[in-house]
Amino acid sequence: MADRTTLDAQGLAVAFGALRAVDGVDLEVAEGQCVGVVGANGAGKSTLLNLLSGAVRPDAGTVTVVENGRSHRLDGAPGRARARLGIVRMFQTARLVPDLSARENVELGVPAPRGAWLEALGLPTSRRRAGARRRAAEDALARVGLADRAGMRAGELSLGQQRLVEMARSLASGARILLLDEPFSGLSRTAREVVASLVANLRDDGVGVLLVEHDLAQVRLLADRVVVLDAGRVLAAGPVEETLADPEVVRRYIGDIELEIGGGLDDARPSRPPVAAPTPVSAPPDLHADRTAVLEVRDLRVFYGAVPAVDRVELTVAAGDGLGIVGPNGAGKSTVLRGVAGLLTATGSVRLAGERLDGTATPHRFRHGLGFVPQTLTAVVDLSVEENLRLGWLAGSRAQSFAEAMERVGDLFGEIADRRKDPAGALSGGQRQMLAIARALVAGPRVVLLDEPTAGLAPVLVAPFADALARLRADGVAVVVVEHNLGLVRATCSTILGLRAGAPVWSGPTERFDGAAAHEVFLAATAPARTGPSLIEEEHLSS
Amino acid sequence: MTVVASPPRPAPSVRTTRHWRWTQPAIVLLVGAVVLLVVRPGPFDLRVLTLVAAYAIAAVGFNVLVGFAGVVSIGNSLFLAAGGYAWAILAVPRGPLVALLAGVVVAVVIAVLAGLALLRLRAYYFAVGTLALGALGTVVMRNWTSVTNGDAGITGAGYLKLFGLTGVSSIFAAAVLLLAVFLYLQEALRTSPLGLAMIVGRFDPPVADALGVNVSRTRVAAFVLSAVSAAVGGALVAQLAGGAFPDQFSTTAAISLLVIPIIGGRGWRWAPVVGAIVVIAAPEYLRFLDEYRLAVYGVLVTLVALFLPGGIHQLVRGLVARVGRRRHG
Amino acid sequence: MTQAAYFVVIGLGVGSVYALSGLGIVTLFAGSGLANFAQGDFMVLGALVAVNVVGAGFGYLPALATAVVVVAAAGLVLGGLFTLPMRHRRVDVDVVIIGTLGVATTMTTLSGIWFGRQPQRLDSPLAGAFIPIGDLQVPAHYALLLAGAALVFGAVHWFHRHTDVGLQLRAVASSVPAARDAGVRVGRMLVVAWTIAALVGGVAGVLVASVVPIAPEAALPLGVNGFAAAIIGGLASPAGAVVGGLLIGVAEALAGGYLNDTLRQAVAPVVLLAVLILRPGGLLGRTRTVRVA
Repeated sequence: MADRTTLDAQGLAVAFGALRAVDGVDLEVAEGQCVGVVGANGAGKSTLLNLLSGAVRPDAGTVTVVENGRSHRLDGAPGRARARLGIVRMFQTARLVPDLSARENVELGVPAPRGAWLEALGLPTSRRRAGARRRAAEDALARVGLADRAGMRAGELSLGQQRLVEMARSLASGARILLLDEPFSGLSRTAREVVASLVANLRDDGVGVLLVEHDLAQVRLLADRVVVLDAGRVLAAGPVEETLADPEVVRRYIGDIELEIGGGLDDARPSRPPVAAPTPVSAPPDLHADRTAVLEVRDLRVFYGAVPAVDRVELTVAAGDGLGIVGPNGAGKSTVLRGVAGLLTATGSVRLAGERLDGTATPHRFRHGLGFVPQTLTAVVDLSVEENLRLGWLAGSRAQSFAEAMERVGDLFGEIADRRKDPAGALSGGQRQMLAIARALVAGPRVVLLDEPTAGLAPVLVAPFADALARLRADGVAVVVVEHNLGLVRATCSTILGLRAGAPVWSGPTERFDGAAAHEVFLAATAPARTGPSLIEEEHLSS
Repeated sequence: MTVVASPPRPAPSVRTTRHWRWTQPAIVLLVGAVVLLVVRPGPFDLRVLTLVAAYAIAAVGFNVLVGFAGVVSIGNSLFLAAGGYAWAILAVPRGPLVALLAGVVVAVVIAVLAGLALLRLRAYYFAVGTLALGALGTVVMRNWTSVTNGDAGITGAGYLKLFGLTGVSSIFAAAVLLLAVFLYLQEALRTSPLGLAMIVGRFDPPVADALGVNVSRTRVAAFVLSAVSAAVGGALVAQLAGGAFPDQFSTTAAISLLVIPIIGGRGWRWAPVVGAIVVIAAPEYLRFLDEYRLAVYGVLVTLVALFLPGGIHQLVRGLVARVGRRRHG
Repeated sequence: MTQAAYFVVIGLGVGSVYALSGLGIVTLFAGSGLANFAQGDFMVLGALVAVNVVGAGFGYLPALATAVVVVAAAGLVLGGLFTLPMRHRRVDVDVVIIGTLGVATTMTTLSGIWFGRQPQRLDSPLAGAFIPIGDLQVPAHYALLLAGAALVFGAVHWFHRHTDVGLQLRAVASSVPAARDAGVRVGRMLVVAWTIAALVGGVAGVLVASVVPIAPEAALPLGVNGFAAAIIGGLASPAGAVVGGLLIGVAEALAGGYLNDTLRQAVAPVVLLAVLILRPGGLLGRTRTVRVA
């Protein structure tokens, strides 16, 4: 044990403003071990990785590497100190230097011996060294199956190939401990299999692997132990199967999706009110008379490179209606919203109250009655609450005066109006989310798009939030919500659109979104076939 | 977001980024020999060509600094001046080698100190800092009369006599030789761990850090290399002018130096040469524009910076790609 | 003692012009992360236009107005030009910085062609009036420098605090992504920032031309002084630029008065370097990250 390399973290904590992103996490990875880290969006997985890799300094806690019986304290040390000890991090998105060849990118990972800088002088003695480095890089590329791409510029490789090159870079580094950030996301099935077998081989060769991953199937396949994070804390840790079967884990992590589905299984309509959500509201009756669509999106496609991330999505919302967009991670939910808002380049038609908006710039869409509330709260923290609201009003239709708009905010979001003179940076997380909605509201929108509005919001704040949305709808504003909390969706939306892998797979009234529908949206196999249902196992569903 | 790896595309004309290190120096030497022995340009043209070579040498280091390490310096006139003044003061009494080395050593010392002090800063702060450094250099040049002879400068510098050549021809030969050496070094650096570390540090500092690269140290190394090449280039400029004068090494010179690799296409191995031809030679031949030529040149720099960030290299690449596509149908 | 007071007053006057130059740099930097190396050229353009308008027989105020309009128009055009490439792709700030160097070269050359390369002086409206300090006489124009600078600062401050465009400018200066999410047309605000920077530079140029003869080549040292003033507030604080400008003005006046001219010229670069090395976030500023998205 003493001569093994281990990475040991104790009591790690870091806060960003009021958000305690990681709050007292203990973790150990030893050589030859694969430790999975799972958790919902915003649970602190990536932050934990940043802490371990030295990209973020912890507020408290220690990171220690034990190597050959000597321990090195690393908290506060830069990332490069870790690299020298054989702790290598792979980033979530491939981050290669596009102008260098694939081989040169891999060469960057090959540990440079002392005096390697002398090679820069181009002396004849350096040729052997350079040759050895090149061969090491080419070997690593061969191991990921890209030997024939060694000379291509990294920027010309497909995204999947870039990920494999990055994997090769990690292989070539001779890492003792490998920190992997969602290595499977965005990969084709074949590439996934290559990466999975590489990780398994590395582990068997004695490399310690920390695998941050939302695809539970891969975690089950590869990890010896798993750590479940929730709101920055360790919810459970231990052997994979036991831990993932822990009812508390199921309830808290998988529960966002699953518990509500579970409710739906017993009964077509959830008999009990969903967790942390008020009584479901339906659209005000007087609006039922006028069911003409206020927002109409047809054949929406958004491309990342040549690959459509969202394909042929259609949606229709009437005034005062609520539409929830649900689906597993990576289904393209947020991409749909950003495409509709014009923040991403999309094809297809977007009509707002009959007016064509597709092809126009975002500010133009805002001016014509489209409101957008981004996922991360983006109030301008240096400005006061009122100034932030005025920015929103300036961007909007200005059909009503600012004073009138503020009155409306006062009616709907009293606590925001009360703090109008305070800097937005001083608001609590929940209030900032209210501010974000209020800002969309003062623009006088007909439709508000909300992207994961409750991500990072404390559970107690979800209910008031759902209430605010209901008030918005009662005011005649249509609402489109992308949300992983089905309770909130049920409480605030009259129709649901289910997305999987960028394409619509279910659509209908909320009452009919039952267990079978949820099963189809969340569980139909998009994961590698041999690993079975990817996100949630059957028995959890019915428990 | 779901991104699926697309099936392997038909390999485009696979462009390897490895080159034989001697290709470039060999071409430069060959062209130099042809110019000197076959073309035999008139004195004005030869002067211009020599100035181009001298600036290309200085720009090699700058290409490394801006193109590899991604650092903008506006103070490199200081290093040109170090080389130029050292040559003007020492070449005749102490011999050319001492003069050249002295200039390089002074430049390196300044670069190490300034680099360590300033390179932890973000890019634009560093640019502003080097602007101040250059301004300070000008003040020193003009006022430290016991060494620099103030505004009058130092005359009677002498020049390097090579291959039995005399006058500008000899300086030209020296410049071409040195340019070949520096281009060789540039390519050697680019494929070495240090060069790769510089490049990754420019593109993605967090990744560089995770790969064990000390980004600020590689930046200092690039700055020092730019000082060395600028000092050598400065020595050649002084030979050509027959002395060292404050006006030669003003901030305008630093800006020319900065602009050369940008116009050429920063990081491209031909950028120093191509850029120097455009920036140094073109204005000389744009004399019909008379006093407007500097204005034209300024406009050109702005337009390239804003709309053609890859410089001439970008044009060449686009052209090559288009030709390639046409050939393949 | 009287002499010291004299130098301080002179220094404050000149320093207030540096402060304006710094304000122009800060306005643009806060909005776009752009270090504008052509700021000195805005001042030169303003000064030389004013000199020529006065030379054509008009008064000081028409000259000032013309200069301001011309320089602001130049800023507007440049702002549009520099915002264009940002519309479709991310731009590297360092390349854009080089773009401003190109602008500086162009403007210096054109000023030289149109207005001549000789230093030119603008007659002060207060020519012949003096403020007595003990037995020394300070030209009254120095008071005008201070008053003019204070007026411009006040106007810019008011614009930022009390207009909608100012509000949006502040949003962009605070965070470009956040401003964009709020629906602010960031590109347009950058054009506005360029125009304000130019306008402020133009006024500063006209003011300073009555105490220092201005040649096109003066653009660079004026710019360096502006940067030195701005850096004291970390390039992002208008108040920092005021303090910085006044400090440097006074330091220069004292160095020139008691020591020699060489040291006077070295003041701004030395201050600039010292602040960068010792307190890169500025003496008053806080460290912050400004990025162009």
